[in-house]
Amino acid sequence: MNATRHLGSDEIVERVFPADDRPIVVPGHLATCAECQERVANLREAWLLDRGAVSGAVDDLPSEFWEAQVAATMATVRSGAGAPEETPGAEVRVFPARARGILRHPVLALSSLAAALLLVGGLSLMRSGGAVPAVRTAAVKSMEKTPALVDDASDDELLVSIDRVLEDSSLAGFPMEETL
Amino acid sequence: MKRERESEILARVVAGDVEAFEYFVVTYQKRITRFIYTLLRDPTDADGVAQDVFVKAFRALPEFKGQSAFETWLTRIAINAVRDHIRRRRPVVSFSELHADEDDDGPDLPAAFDPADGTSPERDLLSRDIRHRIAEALVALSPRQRAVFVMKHYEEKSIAEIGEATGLDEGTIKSHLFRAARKLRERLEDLR
Repeated sequence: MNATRHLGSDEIVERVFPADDRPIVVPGHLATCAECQERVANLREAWLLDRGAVSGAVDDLPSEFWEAQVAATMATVRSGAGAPEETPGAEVRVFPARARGILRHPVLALSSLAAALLLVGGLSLMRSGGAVPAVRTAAVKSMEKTPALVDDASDDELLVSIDRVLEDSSLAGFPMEETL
Repeated sequence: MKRERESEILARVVAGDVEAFEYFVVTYQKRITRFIYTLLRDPTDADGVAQDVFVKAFRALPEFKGQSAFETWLTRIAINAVRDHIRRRRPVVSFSELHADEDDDGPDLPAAFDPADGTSPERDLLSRDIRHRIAEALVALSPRQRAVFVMKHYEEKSIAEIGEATGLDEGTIKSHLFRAARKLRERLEDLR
Protein backbone atom coordinates (compact mmCIF):
# COMPACT_ATOMS: atom_id res chain seq x y z
CA MET A 1 0.00 0.00 0.00
CA ASN A 2 1.13 3.50 -0.81
CA ALA A 3 1.95 5.14 2.50
CA THR A 4 1.06 8.60 1.21
CA ARG A 5 -2.36 7.72 -0.23
CA HIS A 6 -5.48 8.45 1.80
CA LEU A 7 -7.62 5.46 2.74
CA GLY A 8 -10.50 4.71 0.39
CA SER A 9 -14.07 4.29 1.64
CA ASP A 10 -13.75 0.51 1.46
CA GLU A 11 -10.64 0.62 3.63
CA ILE A 12 -12.34 2.91 6.14
CA VAL A 13 -15.34 0.56 6.35
CA GLU A 14 -13.05 -2.45 6.63
CA ARG A 15 -11.27 -0.87 9.60
CA VAL A 16 -14.55 -0.67 11.53
CA PHE A 17 -16.41 -3.66 10.09
CA PRO A 18 -13.82 -6.34 9.38
CA ALA A 19 -15.14 -9.47 7.68
CA ASP A 20 -12.82 -11.60 9.78
CA ASP A 21 -12.13 -12.37 13.42
CA ARG A 22 -8.42 -11.84 12.99
CA PRO A 23 -7.07 -8.34 13.62
CA ILE A 24 -6.45 -6.57 10.35
CA VAL A 25 -3.15 -4.96 9.53
CA VAL A 26 -3.09 -1.24 10.21
CA PRO A 27 -2.03 0.63 7.08
CA GLY A 28 1.10 2.70 7.65
CA HIS A 29 -0.65 5.78 6.30
CA LEU A 30 -3.32 5.60 8.99
CA ALA A 31 -0.74 5.95 11.73
CA THR A 32 0.31 9.37 10.48
CA CYS A 33 -2.73 10.83 8.69
CA ALA A 34 -5.05 12.76 11.00
CA GLU A 35 -7.70 13.05 8.31
CA CYS A 36 -7.96 9.31 7.78
CA GLN A 37 -7.84 8.70 11.52
CA GLU A 38 -10.76 11.08 11.95
CA ARG A 39 -12.80 9.34 9.24
CA VAL A 40 -12.26 5.98 10.88
CA ALA A 41 -13.06 7.45 14.31
CA ASN A 42 -16.26 9.09 13.03
CA LEU A 43 -17.56 5.86 11.55
CA ARG A 44 -16.58 3.85 14.62
CA GLU A 45 -18.23 6.35 16.93
CA ALA A 46 -21.45 6.39 14.90
CA TRP A 47 -21.59 2.60 14.85
CA LEU A 48 -20.97 2.38 18.60
CA LEU A 49 -23.66 4.97 19.20
CA ASP A 50 -26.08 3.04 17.04
CA ARG A 51 -25.23 -0.20 18.79
CA GLY A 52 -25.62 1.40 22.18
CA ALA A 53 -28.88 3.07 21.26
CA VAL A 54 -30.41 -0.11 19.87
CA SER A 55 -29.32 -2.10 22.89
CA GLY A 56 -30.41 0.63 25.30
CA ALA A 57 -33.82 0.94 23.67
CA VAL A 58 -34.52 -2.69 24.56
CA ASP A 59 -32.77 -2.77 27.93
CA ASP A 60 -34.66 0.30 29.10
CA LEU A 61 -38.06 -1.24 28.48
CA PRO A 62 -40.09 -1.40 31.71
CA SER A 63 -40.58 -4.65 33.55
CA GLU A 64 -44.30 -4.50 32.66
CA PHE A 65 -43.35 -4.95 29.03
CA TRP A 66 -41.36 -8.10 29.74
CA GLU A 67 -44.05 -9.49 32.03
CA ALA A 68 -46.68 -8.90 29.35
CA GLN A 69 -44.47 -10.58 26.78
CA VAL A 70 -44.06 -13.64 28.99
CA ALA A 71 -47.81 -13.74 29.71
CA ALA A 72 -48.76 -13.44 26.04
CA THR A 73 -46.22 -16.03 24.97
CA MET A 74 -47.24 -18.49 27.65
CA ALA A 75 -50.93 -17.99 26.81
CA THR A 76 -50.20 -18.94 23.20
CA VAL A 77 -48.04 -21.85 24.31
CA ARG A 78 -50.80 -23.14 26.57
CA SER A 79 -53.41 -22.90 23.85
CA GLY A 80 -51.01 -24.57 21.42
CA ALA A 81 -50.48 -27.37 23.89
CA GLY A 82 -54.20 -28.08 23.89
CA ALA A 83 -54.91 -26.46 27.23
CA PRO A 84 -56.27 -23.02 26.44
CA GLU A 85 -56.20 -20.66 29.32
CA GLU A 86 -56.98 -16.97 29.42
CA THR A 87 -54.31 -14.73 30.82
CA PRO A 88 -55.77 -11.48 32.15
CA GLY A 89 -54.03 -8.41 30.75
CA ALA A 90 -52.00 -10.37 28.28
CA GLU A 91 -52.49 -9.41 24.70
CA VAL A 92 -51.83 -12.31 22.41
CA ARG A 93 -50.60 -11.01 19.13
CA VAL A 94 -52.30 -12.29 16.04
CA PHE A 95 -49.77 -12.65 13.30
CA PRO A 96 -50.92 -11.11 10.02
CA ALA A 97 -50.33 -14.10 7.80
CA ARG A 98 -52.46 -16.29 10.05
CA ALA A 99 -55.20 -13.71 10.44
CA ARG A 100 -55.53 -13.31 6.70
CA GLY A 101 -55.94 -17.00 5.95
CA ILE A 102 -59.68 -17.23 5.29
CA LEU A 103 -59.46 -20.99 4.94
CA ARG A 104 -58.63 -21.04 8.60
CA HIS A 105 -62.10 -19.60 9.26
CA PRO A 106 -64.54 -21.61 7.13
CA VAL A 107 -67.56 -20.46 9.15
CA LEU A 108 -66.66 -16.85 8.53
CA ALA A 109 -66.15 -17.56 4.83
CA LEU A 110 -69.56 -19.29 4.51
CA SER A 111 -71.32 -16.51 6.42
CA SER A 112 -69.77 -13.91 4.13
CA LEU A 113 -70.87 -15.88 1.07
CA ALA A 114 -74.42 -16.21 2.40
CA ALA A 115 -74.57 -12.48 3.15
CA ALA A 116 -73.33 -11.66 -0.35
CA LEU A 117 -75.94 -13.96 -1.94
CA LEU A 118 -78.70 -12.39 0.17
CA LEU A 119 -77.59 -8.94 -0.89
CA VAL A 120 -77.52 -9.84 -4.59
CA GLY A 121 -80.91 -11.58 -4.32
CA GLY A 122 -82.45 -8.65 -2.47
CA LEU A 123 -81.18 -6.14 -4.99
CA SER A 124 -82.54 -8.21 -7.91
CA LEU A 125 -85.96 -8.42 -6.22
CA MET A 126 -86.02 -4.71 -5.58
CA ARG A 127 -85.09 -3.89 -9.16
CA SER A 128 -87.73 -6.18 -10.69
CA GLY A 129 -90.54 -5.23 -8.27
CA GLY A 130 -90.22 -1.45 -8.52
CA ALA A 131 -89.03 -1.19 -4.97
CA VAL A 132 -86.03 0.85 -5.94
CA PRO A 133 -87.97 3.96 -6.96
CA ALA A 134 -89.96 3.73 -3.71
CA VAL A 135 -86.81 3.64 -1.64
CA ARG A 136 -85.28 6.34 -3.71
CA THR A 137 -88.38 8.50 -3.44
CA ALA A 138 -88.26 8.19 0.31
CA ALA A 139 -84.62 9.16 0.21
CA VAL A 140 -85.34 12.10 -2.04
CA LYS A 141 -88.22 13.22 0.20
CA SER A 142 -86.03 13.16 3.25
CA MET A 143 -83.46 15.17 1.39
CA GLU A 144 -86.09 17.67 0.30
CA LYS A 145 -86.66 18.52 3.93
CA THR A 146 -83.16 19.99 4.00
CA PRO A 147 -83.13 23.24 2.02
CA ALA A 148 -79.45 23.04 1.32
CA LEU A 149 -79.94 19.74 -0.46
CA VAL A 150 -82.65 20.82 -2.90
CA ASP A 151 -80.25 20.72 -5.83
CA ASP A 152 -79.06 17.29 -4.75
CA ALA A 153 -82.68 16.10 -4.80
CA SER A 154 -83.12 17.11 -8.42
CA ASP A 155 -79.82 15.44 -9.20
CA ASP A 156 -81.14 12.31 -7.57
CA GLU A 157 -84.30 12.40 -9.69
CA LEU A 158 -82.10 12.68 -12.75
CA LEU A 159 -80.14 9.64 -11.61
CA VAL A 160 -83.39 7.72 -11.06
CA SER A 161 -84.45 8.59 -14.61
CA ILE A 162 -81.11 7.41 -15.97
CA ASP A 163 -81.56 4.17 -14.03
CA ARG A 164 -85.00 3.65 -15.54
CA VAL A 165 -83.64 4.19 -19.05
CA LEU A 166 -80.83 1.75 -18.42
CA GLU A 167 -83.24 -0.84 -17.05
CA ASP A 168 -85.54 -0.40 -20.05
CA SER A 169 -85.70 -3.77 -21.83
CA SER A 170 -86.07 -2.05 -25.20
CA LEU A 171 -82.35 -1.23 -24.97
CA ALA A 172 -81.52 -4.91 -24.97
CA GLY A 173 -81.83 -4.99 -28.75
CA PHE A 174 -79.16 -2.36 -29.22
CA PRO A 175 -75.97 -3.72 -30.79
CA MET A 176 -72.97 -3.71 -28.47
CA GLU A 177 -69.97 -1.71 -29.55
CA GLU A 178 -67.11 -3.85 -30.75
CA THR A 179 -64.28 -3.84 -28.33
CA LEU A 180 -60.82 -5.33 -28.56
CA MET B 1 -24.08 -26.22 34.90
CA LYS B 2 -26.57 -23.98 33.13
CA ARG B 3 -26.77 -26.42 30.25
CA GLU B 4 -27.52 -29.32 32.60
CA ARG B 5 -30.20 -27.33 34.34
CA GLU B 6 -31.72 -26.40 31.00
CA SER B 7 -31.65 -30.01 29.84
CA GLU B 8 -33.54 -30.97 32.96
CA ILE B 9 -36.19 -28.27 32.42
CA LEU B 10 -36.43 -29.19 28.74
CA ALA B 11 -37.13 -32.78 29.65
CA ARG B 12 -39.93 -31.62 31.94
CA VAL B 13 -41.48 -29.49 29.19
CA VAL B 14 -41.30 -32.29 26.64
CA ALA B 15 -42.90 -34.59 29.22
CA GLY B 16 -45.89 -32.25 29.37
CA ASP B 17 -45.02 -29.63 31.99
CA VAL B 18 -45.95 -26.65 29.84
CA GLU B 19 -45.45 -24.13 32.65
CA ALA B 20 -41.78 -25.08 32.92
CA PHE B 21 -41.25 -23.49 29.51
CA GLU B 22 -41.64 -20.06 31.12
CA TYR B 23 -38.07 -20.41 32.38
CA PHE B 24 -36.78 -20.19 28.78
CA VAL B 25 -38.99 -17.24 27.90
CA VAL B 26 -37.88 -15.29 30.98
CA THR B 27 -34.22 -16.22 30.55
CA TYR B 28 -33.89 -15.37 26.86
CA GLN B 29 -36.60 -12.83 26.09
CA LYS B 30 -34.30 -9.79 26.39
CA ARG B 31 -31.52 -11.24 24.32
CA ILE B 32 -33.90 -12.46 21.59
CA THR B 33 -35.97 -9.25 21.55
CA ARG B 34 -32.79 -7.14 21.33
CA PHE B 35 -31.49 -9.25 18.47
CA ILE B 36 -34.77 -9.03 16.57
CA TYR B 37 -35.11 -5.33 17.28
CA THR B 38 -31.60 -4.70 15.93
CA LEU B 39 -32.59 -6.50 12.75
CA LEU B 40 -36.04 -4.97 12.29
CA ARG B 41 -35.66 -1.62 14.04
CA ASP B 42 -39.33 -1.69 14.93
CA PRO B 43 -40.26 -2.28 18.59
CA THR B 44 -43.79 -3.53 17.93
CA ASP B 45 -42.64 -5.98 15.29
CA ALA B 46 -39.75 -7.04 17.50
CA ASP B 47 -42.15 -7.89 20.33
CA GLY B 48 -44.45 -9.88 18.07
CA VAL B 49 -41.67 -11.77 16.34
CA ALA B 50 -40.00 -12.52 19.69
CA GLN B 51 -43.22 -14.08 20.97
CA ASP B 52 -43.47 -16.04 17.75
CA VAL B 53 -39.92 -17.32 18.23
CA PHE B 54 -40.71 -18.73 21.67
CA VAL B 55 -43.95 -20.32 20.49
CA LYS B 56 -42.13 -21.90 17.55
CA ALA B 57 -39.39 -23.09 19.87
CA PHE B 58 -41.95 -24.64 22.19
CA ARG B 59 -43.59 -26.49 19.32
CA ALA B 60 -40.25 -27.65 17.96
CA LEU B 61 -38.84 -28.71 21.32
CA PRO B 62 -39.06 -32.44 20.59
CA GLU B 63 -36.71 -31.79 17.64
CA PHE B 64 -34.09 -30.12 19.85
CA LYS B 65 -31.34 -32.67 20.35
CA GLY B 66 -29.15 -30.58 22.60
CA GLN B 67 -26.23 -30.64 20.18
CA SER B 68 -25.95 -26.88 20.46
CA ALA B 69 -26.81 -24.58 23.35
CA PHE B 70 -30.49 -23.76 23.70
CA GLU B 71 -29.67 -20.09 23.11
CA THR B 72 -27.96 -20.90 19.81
CA TRP B 73 -30.93 -22.99 18.72
CA LEU B 74 -33.26 -20.16 19.71
CA THR B 75 -31.17 -17.69 17.71
CA ARG B 76 -31.53 -19.87 14.66
CA ILE B 77 -35.30 -19.89 15.07
CA ALA B 78 -35.18 -16.10 15.50
CA ILE B 79 -33.23 -15.66 12.26
CA ASN B 80 -35.81 -17.72 10.38
CA ALA B 81 -38.69 -15.88 12.02
CA VAL B 82 -37.21 -12.50 11.09
CA ARG B 83 -36.64 -13.69 7.54
CA ASP B 84 -40.26 -14.84 7.29
CA HIS B 85 -41.46 -11.60 8.80
CA ILE B 86 -39.46 -9.52 6.33
CA ARG B 87 -40.75 -11.57 3.40
CA ARG B 88 -44.33 -11.18 4.61
CA ARG B 89 -44.24 -7.47 5.04
CA ARG B 90 -42.25 -6.09 2.15
CA PRO B 91 -41.23 -3.36 1.82
CA VAL B 92 -39.23 -3.47 4.99
CA VAL B 93 -39.16 -0.43 7.23
CA SER B 94 -38.21 2.46 5.04
CA PHE B 95 -35.75 4.82 6.55
CA SER B 96 -38.28 7.65 6.71
CA GLU B 97 -40.60 5.29 8.56
CA LEU B 98 -37.77 4.31 10.84
CA HIS B 99 -37.51 7.83 12.18
CA ALA B 100 -41.02 9.03 11.37
CA ASP B 101 -41.79 10.25 14.86
CA GLU B 102 -38.54 12.00 15.38
CA ASP B 103 -37.67 15.59 14.78
CA ASP B 104 -35.06 16.85 12.38
CA ASP B 105 -32.34 16.33 14.94
CA GLY B 106 -32.51 12.62 14.40
CA PRO B 107 -33.48 9.79 16.69
CA ASP B 108 -33.78 10.19 20.43
CA LEU B 109 -30.78 8.41 21.80
CA PRO B 110 -30.54 7.14 25.31
CA ALA B 111 -28.79 9.88 27.30
CA ALA B 112 -25.72 7.79 27.96
CA PHE B 113 -25.18 7.42 24.25
CA ASP B 114 -26.09 10.90 23.15
CA PRO B 115 -23.14 12.23 21.13
CA ALA B 116 -24.13 15.76 22.10
CA ASP B 117 -22.51 15.13 25.46
CA GLY B 118 -19.15 16.84 25.24
CA THR B 119 -18.96 17.01 21.46
CA SER B 120 -19.42 19.82 18.98
CA PRO B 121 -22.73 20.28 17.10
CA GLU B 122 -20.93 19.53 13.83
CA ARG B 123 -19.63 16.28 15.17
CA ASP B 124 -23.04 15.44 16.57
CA LEU B 125 -24.63 16.09 13.18
CA LEU B 126 -22.02 14.03 11.37
CA SER B 127 -22.43 11.19 13.81
CA ARG B 128 -26.21 11.16 13.33
CA ASP B 129 -25.77 11.28 9.58
CA ILE B 130 -23.47 8.25 9.69
CA ARG B 131 -25.86 6.42 11.99
CA HIS B 132 -28.70 7.03 9.57
CA ARG B 133 -26.59 5.70 6.75
CA ILE B 134 -25.63 2.61 8.73
CA ALA B 135 -29.30 1.98 9.49
CA GLU B 136 -30.22 2.52 5.84
CA ALA B 137 -27.53 0.11 4.72
CA LEU B 138 -28.70 -2.42 7.28
CA VAL B 139 -32.34 -2.46 6.18
CA ALA B 140 -31.20 -2.70 2.56
CA LEU B 141 -29.41 -6.00 3.25
CA SER B 142 -30.98 -9.38 2.68
CA PRO B 143 -32.34 -10.97 5.87
CA ARG B 144 -29.44 -13.40 6.05
CA GLN B 145 -26.78 -10.76 5.43
CA ARG B 146 -28.44 -8.57 8.01
CA ALA B 147 -28.48 -11.34 10.58
CA VAL B 148 -24.83 -12.18 9.99
CA PHE B 149 -23.80 -8.52 10.12
CA VAL B 150 -25.72 -7.85 13.34
CA MET B 151 -24.34 -10.96 15.02
CA LYS B 152 -20.78 -10.02 14.10
CA HIS B 153 -20.80 -6.28 14.71
CA TYR B 154 -23.63 -5.68 17.15
CA GLU B 155 -23.43 -8.84 19.23
CA GLU B 156 -19.70 -9.41 18.76
CA LYS B 157 -20.10 -13.08 17.90
CA SER B 158 -17.20 -14.91 16.36
CA ILE B 159 -17.42 -16.37 12.87
CA ALA B 160 -17.65 -19.84 14.45
CA GLU B 161 -20.57 -18.78 16.67
CA ILE B 162 -22.35 -17.21 13.72
CA GLY B 163 -21.78 -20.42 11.79
CA GLU B 164 -23.32 -22.46 14.58
CA ALA B 165 -26.39 -20.23 14.75
CA THR B 166 -26.93 -19.86 11.03
CA GLY B 167 -25.64 -23.18 9.74
CA LEU B 168 -23.47 -21.29 7.25
CA ASP B 169 -19.83 -22.12 6.59
CA GLU B 170 -17.03 -19.67 7.27
CA GLY B 171 -16.59 -18.66 3.64
CA THR B 172 -20.27 -17.84 3.19
CA ILE B 173 -20.34 -15.80 6.41
CA LYS B 174 -17.31 -13.80 5.32
CA SER B 175 -18.90 -13.29 1.93
CA HIS B 176 -22.07 -11.96 3.61
CA LEU B 177 -20.00 -9.67 5.81
CA PHE B 178 -18.04 -8.44 2.82
CA ARG B 179 -21.21 -7.69 0.84
CA ALA B 180 -22.75 -5.95 3.83
CA ALA B 181 -19.64 -3.81 4.24
CA ARG B 182 -19.74 -2.98 0.54
CA LYS B 183 -23.34 -1.77 0.84
CA LEU B 184 -22.31 0.30 3.80
CA ARG B 185 -19.41 1.74 1.87
CA GLU B 186 -21.76 2.73 -0.95
CA ARG B 187 -23.86 4.66 1.57
CA LEU B 188 -20.80 6.39 2.98
CA GLU B 189 -19.12 7.08 -0.34
CA ASP B 190 -19.79 10.81 -0.43
CA LEU B 191 -18.95 11.31 3.22
CA ARG B 192 -15.68 13.06 3.89
